[in-house]
Amino acid sequence: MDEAGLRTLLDRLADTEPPPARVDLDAAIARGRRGRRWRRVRAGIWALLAAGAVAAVVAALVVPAQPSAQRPAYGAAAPARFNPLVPYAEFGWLPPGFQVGVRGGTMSRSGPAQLILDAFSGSNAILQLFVYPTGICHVGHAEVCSAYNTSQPVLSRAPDVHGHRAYWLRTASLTWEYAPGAWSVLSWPQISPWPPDGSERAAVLRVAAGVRYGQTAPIRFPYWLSGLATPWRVSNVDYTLLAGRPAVQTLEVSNGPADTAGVDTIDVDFTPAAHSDWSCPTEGIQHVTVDGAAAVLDNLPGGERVCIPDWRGLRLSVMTAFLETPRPHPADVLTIARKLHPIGPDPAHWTADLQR
Amino acid sequence: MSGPQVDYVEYVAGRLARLRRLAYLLCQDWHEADDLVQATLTRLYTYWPRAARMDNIDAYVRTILVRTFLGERRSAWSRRVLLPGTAQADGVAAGADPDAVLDVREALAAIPPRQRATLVLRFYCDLDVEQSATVLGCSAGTVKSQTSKGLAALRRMLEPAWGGGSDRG
Repeated sequence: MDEAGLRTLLDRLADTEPPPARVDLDAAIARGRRGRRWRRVRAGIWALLAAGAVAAVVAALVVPAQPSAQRPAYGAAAPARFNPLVPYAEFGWLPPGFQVGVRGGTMSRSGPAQLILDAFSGSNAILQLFVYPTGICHVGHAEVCSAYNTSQPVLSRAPDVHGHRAYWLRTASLTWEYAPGAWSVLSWPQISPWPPDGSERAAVLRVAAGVRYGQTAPIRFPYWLSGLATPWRVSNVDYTLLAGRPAVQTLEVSNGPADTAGVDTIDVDFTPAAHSDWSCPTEGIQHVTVDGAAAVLDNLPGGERVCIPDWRGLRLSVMTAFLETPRPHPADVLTIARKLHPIGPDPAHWTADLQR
Repeated sequence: MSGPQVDYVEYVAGRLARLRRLAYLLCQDWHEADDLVQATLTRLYTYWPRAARMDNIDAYVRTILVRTFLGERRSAWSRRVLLPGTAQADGVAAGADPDAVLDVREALAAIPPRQRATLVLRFYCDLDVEQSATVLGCSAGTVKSQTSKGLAALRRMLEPAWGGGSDRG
């Protein structure tokens, strides 16, 4: 993707001739007044929280069952759901110049119905692998992965990958059935010609054939959770590779199935406090404590966040993007923050045992 | 009308067109964009006593708009069919390549809302990674990740139409 080209197109798109505005300023003011009254009610709720008066709201800690990852032979059955804490696949071979992990500047995303692996090259080209569990994708005239609303037209049959059927897709991608009913998609940065030929073709097929499934290396965390109150569960984990091992960047928990309608999500972000690339807010905040650590509560419209500037060497942010009052319950962000137990910034001490 | 309310109305009058354009890039639909702006201005009024004292009200309002967009999309996105080809055909700016502009709108409509918001903040609002992270309420690392995923997704959808032939990132 040419970033300058995208910038130009966004400018042109924004310059599209708008219809007359339907914005009603009087209605905004009237509803805004009601919102001010609601804020005063919420301020009272937060005061109660700070005093610990609603501790009884916190439900019993439940560790949701996660399917275990196994290391199957190529083509053996894939699970119906992935364990977000144990990335199911990894690259086995990458073209020269491509890297994954911190050195490559990449982040991957592990969820129950989709695993996304990124590899970057020195020229900033991105190669992406999407891995789906059994039953998510179906291939006919197009590959349709229903859970994610994606549909990619099939161009032609491609050489089998380890004896399993594969197809070239119009979107500069190769897809193959790595296990019965389970598909992978490799998105390639070089698109002309497509399907590729010569060494390009060999490289695409070699990356596909090299993918290793059934991985069992768990993601490691600089904190652990003393449990999540029902119905909260781990839904997605953004992770990178540190010294070749998966390490969390962002933990996402949801109060329902991942990536579905009506489900609230809360993100837990962290950074070493001494080398942080972000700060806790200082305006419009409320001061609270989390396990004795000073923290701030930021209830900006559209998002609620607990930010702990320095908790045993970690800076932690627990945030939801919701403000559709009163959901999620105002206690949820602070409740989940109080389930965190920081370990520290040294990856050597991090844990894969996230929920205890 | 009281003094603060006058300030609020004056502020909104001066920024309405810009807010609508930002909302349109996020929604790809002018009606939805106006709904988003309406919700943003309602929330802005709720918080106006605080906002009016800020050095950078524009940044604050942008944050409200983007987070409102993401909040509402999280509850609604899977009920919407976000497949390429479903965006409505609004008019295109004079002088623009209509096909390219419509392509990018359809492609934007087909990527997840958080990636879309990240790309709009980075490449339309010209925010850097840290500024985008502040608006989105996430880490700089997550912004980088969302940017790379969003660009990759756009590339996958746009390249066949653009017919490019070189290495891209």
